Amino acid sequence: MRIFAWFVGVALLAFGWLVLAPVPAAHAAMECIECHADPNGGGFHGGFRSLTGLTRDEIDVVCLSCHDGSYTNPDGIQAPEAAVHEQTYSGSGKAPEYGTFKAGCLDCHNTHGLLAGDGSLIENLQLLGAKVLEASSTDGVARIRKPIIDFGADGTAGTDDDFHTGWECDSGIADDPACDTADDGFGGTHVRAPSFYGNLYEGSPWAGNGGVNPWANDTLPYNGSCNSCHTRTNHHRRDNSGGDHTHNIDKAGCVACHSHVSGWLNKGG
Amino acid sequence: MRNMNRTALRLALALLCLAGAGPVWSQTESDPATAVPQVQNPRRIAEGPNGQVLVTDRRYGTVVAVDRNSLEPVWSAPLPQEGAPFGLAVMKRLVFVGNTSTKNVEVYRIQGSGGPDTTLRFAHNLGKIPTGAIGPFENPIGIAADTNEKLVFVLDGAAKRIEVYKPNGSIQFGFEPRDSEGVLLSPVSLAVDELRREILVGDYGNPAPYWAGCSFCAAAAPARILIYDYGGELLFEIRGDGTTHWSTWFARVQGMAASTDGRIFAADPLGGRILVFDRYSGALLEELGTQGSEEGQLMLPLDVWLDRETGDLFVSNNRGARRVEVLRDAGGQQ
Repeated sequence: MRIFAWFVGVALLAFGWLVLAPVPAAHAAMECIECHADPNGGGFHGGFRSLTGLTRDEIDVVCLSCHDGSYTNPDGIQAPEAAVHEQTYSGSGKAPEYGTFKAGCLDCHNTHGLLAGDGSLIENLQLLGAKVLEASSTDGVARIRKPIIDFGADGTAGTDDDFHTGWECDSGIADDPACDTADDGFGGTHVRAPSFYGNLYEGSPWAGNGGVNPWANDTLPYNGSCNSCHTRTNHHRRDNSGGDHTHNIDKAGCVACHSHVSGWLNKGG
Repeated sequence: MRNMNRTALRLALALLCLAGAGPVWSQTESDPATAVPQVQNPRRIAEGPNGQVLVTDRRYGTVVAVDRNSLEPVWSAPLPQEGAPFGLAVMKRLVFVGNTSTKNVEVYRIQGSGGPDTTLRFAHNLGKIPTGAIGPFENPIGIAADTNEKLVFVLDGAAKRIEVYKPNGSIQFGFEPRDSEGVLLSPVSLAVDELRREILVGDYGNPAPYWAGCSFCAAAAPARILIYDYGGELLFEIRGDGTTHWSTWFARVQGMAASTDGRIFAADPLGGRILVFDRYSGALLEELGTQGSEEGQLMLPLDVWLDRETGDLFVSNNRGARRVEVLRDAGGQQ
C-alpha cells in the first residue's frame, strides 16, 4: 500500500502539471496576452504588461487594436468591430442636446468576467449582465457603475439640463484614483473593471425585459443596459422623465439601430 | 392602365440605368457632418490628387480628402446606402474602396477640381461583380495599387487571401500570405513597394498559449511583416520577437509604406507610434511619434502614406485627435 501511495505521489509530482496547465485554447476564447501584450514585448508572447496606470484612451486602444474590424484570428474567427460610445468632439452638429460624454470599453465590459471562479481564465470578456460571478455580487448578475449626474442649473433630476459627469465608485467620488487601483478580488489590480469597482446600480440584468430587449426595460425599474445611464435621450430615460419606454422596445434590441460599430450613436437615433 | 404604369416605370428605370445613375447616393446617416467634411473614424490612407490625401472613414461611411498642408478635410463623399468603407487605394483619379457592407471592392472616379464640390462617381466593382450585387470579399480591409504596372492588390482579411486585379476589374491571380513554414495566421494590412515590386503584409501572428519548453505551444507566433514578390513568393519576414533582428520588437503592425531607400514605415496601433524597419535586415531603425490624445500625437494609428517627394509621412490616426496627422520630413529626402 505504501508503495502504491508513493507511486501515486511521484506520478502526481511528475505529471500533475498536465492537469493544472491551461488546455490549449480553442481559439474562440481570449488569451490573457491578447490584451496584455507589451507593445515592445515582441508580439503576443514576448512580453506581458499590466494595464494598470493606462489612461482610459489607452485602455480603449488595447481593445480596438483588435476590434477595429481588421483582425481575424488564426482559427478564422473575426473580432467583432466596435467603436467607443462617446461624443467628445465639437462642430459635428450632431445632437448637441446630449452634451459631451464618453463611455469607454471597460465601462460596459468586464474583461475579467469569469475570473471569479465560474469558467476558465480564457473564456472571459463578458458583457455586463452576462453570467458573471463577481467579487461584490451574490446573485451572479453583473452590474454597471452608477453614473454621476449633475442636475444642471435647475438642480432638478430628470430635466434636460442633466449632465453625466462621470462614474461613481466605492468611494463615491467621480474618477477617484482609488477606483482604478482597488483590489480586484484576485490579489491584483485592474483599471476600471466596472463590475468590480462600481456601486451596484439597481439591477441591470442582461436578460432584462423578459429577454426581449435586454438593453432597455420598458417597465420599472428602467435599468436595462442602456437606460441605466441615459438621462437625456428622447426615450428610455432611467428616471422615467420625458419620452416613453416603448420606443422600438419590440425590436431585436437597441442595437438594431444603435450599433456598436457606430459607437451606439445613431443610424436612426 | 396598371400595366401601362408599370411599363412606364420600368422604362424610366432602364433609362436611369443607361444614364449611369448607378447606386443610390443616399447617405449612411442624415447627418450634417457629411455635408461638412470631417474625419471621425479614419482607417486606410492613400495618396490623392490635387495635393490631398484620401482616407476611408467608418463613422460616416465616407471617403474624405484632406489637404496635405493644412490637414483640413476638403471634401467627403459618402458611399451608397449602408456603405462601410475600409480598404483604400488610388490610381490617378480612380479610387478603389473596400466596402465591407457590400463585400465588394468598388471603383470610383473622382469628379471635380478637388474643391468642396468634388464627388466620387461609381464605375464598377472589381471581379466584374454586377452593380448592386453582393461581392466575393469577406472583409476587404487592405488595398494597394501599383500605378506603373496598373495592378490593384486586395487583402481579404477574413478569407486570408490576396488577389491581384487590373483596374478594369479582371482578376490576374491570387495567393494566401503564408509564412516560411507554410502557416497562414492573421493578416490585417497590405502595402506594395512599387520600386522593388514587393507586397508587404502586416500580420498579428498567433496568440496561442506559449511558454518555453511547452510541447503543444508550437502554433504561437509573433506579429510580423511578410514580404512577397509580385508572384506571391515569400521573400523575407520581419518578426516582432527579435528573431529576425535583435533590435526588432513589436506586438501589432497595421498599415505600411515603403521608401525608395529600403525602409518600411509601419503603424503600431497598440504602441501609438510608427515603426521604421530596414527592409533587408529587419532591423528596427527608428520609432516615430508619441502616443497621446492631443493633435500631433498618435492614438491607434492604422495606416500610413509616405510622400516620397517631400518625405512627409501621413498617418491615419483613429483615436485621440481622430484625424490625419503628419510627421513632416519623417521619410527624409528620397
